[in-house]
Amino acid sequence: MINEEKIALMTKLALYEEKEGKKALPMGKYYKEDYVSLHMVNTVIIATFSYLLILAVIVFSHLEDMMANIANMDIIKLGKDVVIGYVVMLVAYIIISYVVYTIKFKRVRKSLNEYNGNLKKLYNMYSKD
Amino acid sequence: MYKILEFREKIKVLYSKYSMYIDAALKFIIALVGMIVINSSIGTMSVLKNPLVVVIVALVGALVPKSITVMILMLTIVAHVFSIAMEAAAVVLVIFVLMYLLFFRFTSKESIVLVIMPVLFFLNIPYILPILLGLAASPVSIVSVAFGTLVYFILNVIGQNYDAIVKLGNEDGFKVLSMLIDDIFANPAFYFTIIAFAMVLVLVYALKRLSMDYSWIIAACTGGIFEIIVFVIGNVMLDMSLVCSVLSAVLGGLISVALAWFLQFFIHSVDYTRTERVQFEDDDYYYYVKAVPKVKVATSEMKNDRVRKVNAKQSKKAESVKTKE
Repeated sequence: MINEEKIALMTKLALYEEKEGKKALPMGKYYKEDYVSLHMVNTVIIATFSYLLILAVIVFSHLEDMMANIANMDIIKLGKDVVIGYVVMLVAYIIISYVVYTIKFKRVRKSLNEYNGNLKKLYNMYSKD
Repeated sequence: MYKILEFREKIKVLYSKYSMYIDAALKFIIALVGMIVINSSIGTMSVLKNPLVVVIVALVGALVPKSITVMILMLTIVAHVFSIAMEAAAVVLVIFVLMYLLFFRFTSKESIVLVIMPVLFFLNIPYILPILLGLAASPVSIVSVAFGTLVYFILNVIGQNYDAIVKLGNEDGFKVLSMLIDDIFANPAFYFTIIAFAMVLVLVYALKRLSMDYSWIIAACTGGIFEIIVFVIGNVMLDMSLVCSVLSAVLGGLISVALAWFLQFFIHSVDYTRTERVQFEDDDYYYYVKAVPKVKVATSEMKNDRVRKVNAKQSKKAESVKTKE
């Protein structure tokens, strides 16, 4: 016999697995701290790489001025500025990423809880049969 | 008013039935218009200007996810710039890579703004996008609007100085590079535009969330009027020739308000009203389910009803179930 209620539930579960679940289900394996800190590692790498790219663009777009003034450039001050810029960008980007991934994790947890609730309901239906 | 709401319900039903085809058609149009805008402003590589190539790119755009379409279009821009000056292309590429690395890794869905924003700029109605995003999204979208504006400036700066850039490109690529950077990032109009859009987006978002009647419409209209005033002031204060003239700001602003007012009726619902197909199995059966969302329709057949339900909540229901053993 086909149980309509069961099918509706299974459809919901299957839809979730196919849509949001594709990203959410692997996320469910992590604790919040692990998930966020894993992404923090990525964040540091990406921020560093991006900063180097930005520096390269700035240097190349001012190449001529720099070449002309290379003799009387204050290398130490320049180096300081570069390092300070890097630290500021890194800290800002880490804070932003931390907030984003924490929110993301909370949202996914909520949807996963709903999914698990539906799974439980389905399980109960089976055990009644 | 009721006419529009009825119309919306009809469109919702239509969309839920044919969402697959409608989505593909919309993506095709966006990719096509995006290609045409890019080609007409900075088209230097003749291969990419070939109508056949344009149509093929648009067709591919209809089939792949939106974010990939955006990437294809961005690479088209890089290719065109590359044929002018390699060094400038490298910078444009770096800018795009930075956008993806720093922002779109959080919300890849919003990258479509990168294409829509320049297109709207060329249609003279960029004002509509901050209003719509303020209504439908969150203030985070400010970043995508800013990046969309940046893409427009890249296209427009190259388009406007085309001859000079081609000439410079033959002599010294680095000069093209520093000229591009100066014209975009040392241009007060660029920052003015981004700040204006950001303010509008936040204003619309804040007004929309107020708990009063018609807050959506009030938000859209206030945002539009605010935008017109800001851009007229901007035109008086700065050289905004790359963005808009006074006339185009007023006309474009008014059209944007009207369009935003109309579109806001649809924003609420469109995302969640698609028909889905899924397959699964249990111990006894295979199931091939087509899940059609419930859409309550307030059409003229219901005119005699005392209450018209307009914002009916939809829920998904497994409607037709075919089974085989």
